[in-house]
Amino acid sequence: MQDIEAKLKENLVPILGLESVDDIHSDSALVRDLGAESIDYIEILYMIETEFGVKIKISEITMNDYGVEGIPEDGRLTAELAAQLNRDFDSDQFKEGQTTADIFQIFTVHNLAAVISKKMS
Amino acid sequence: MRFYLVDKVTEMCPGKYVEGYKCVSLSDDIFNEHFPGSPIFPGTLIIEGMAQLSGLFLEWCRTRAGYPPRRAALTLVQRVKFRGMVTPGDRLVYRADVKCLYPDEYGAVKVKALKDGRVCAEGELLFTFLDIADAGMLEVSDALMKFATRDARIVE
Repeated sequence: MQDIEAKLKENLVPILGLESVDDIHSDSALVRDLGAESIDYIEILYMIETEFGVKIKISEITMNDYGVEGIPEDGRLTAELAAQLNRDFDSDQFKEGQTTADIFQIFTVHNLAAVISKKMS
Repeated sequence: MRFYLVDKVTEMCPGKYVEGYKCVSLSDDIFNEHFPGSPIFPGTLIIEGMAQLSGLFLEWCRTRAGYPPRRAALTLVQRVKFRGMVTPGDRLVYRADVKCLYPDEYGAVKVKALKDGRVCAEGELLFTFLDIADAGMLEVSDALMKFATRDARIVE
């Protein structure tokens, strides 16, 4: 998992236009902290496919899958769904009451590495 | 100068590859500046030509597979290498081979431009698919595709 995260950080540097890998931390949020735009996500997913050999759908990291399956009509996370997200993304940052927009903003490098690791195994 | 850098699409194999060409002429406006007395077709326009061919092809593959029309937007140009100069009188043959195509997300192609069978540029392009902003743009895109592919062979 650490190797995956290190390789992911290295590959994110040019995509996000950063100076060095030191600018990226495990808990850096792709959108909120590193300024990722939606068009960057296409490049990130393509990089993951070519560098890690796994295909991640954009819906898997933009929470659309969860939106379809679990988020109630008010668009806010239930306690059960928050627990599921924390399990899936090896995290403790997802909490009851957050919206899909909140989640997209706080989705971290570590969360992304967790998805890659899960796919690879 | 009309910004159409593909004269003709010659062969299309859905989901796999496309070929076409651009005839470079001394009458192209670009040679007024690039360069006076020493006309060289700019590498950036070779990339654009390869991107136009690839983008039209990926859009065609999507709609042919039953997906609603979307515009292929170039998002990444990588590992491009220019290997030879292109001058007036040359016929640039473009080829794009699909690396991956996810109609709801993105498509990537390996591209090359050949002159007399020799590679003069090659690289990799990534496209995402955006909703077409207006009917006029879709109409222009369709007309261009129809004209460019008028004699294209479709290989199944």
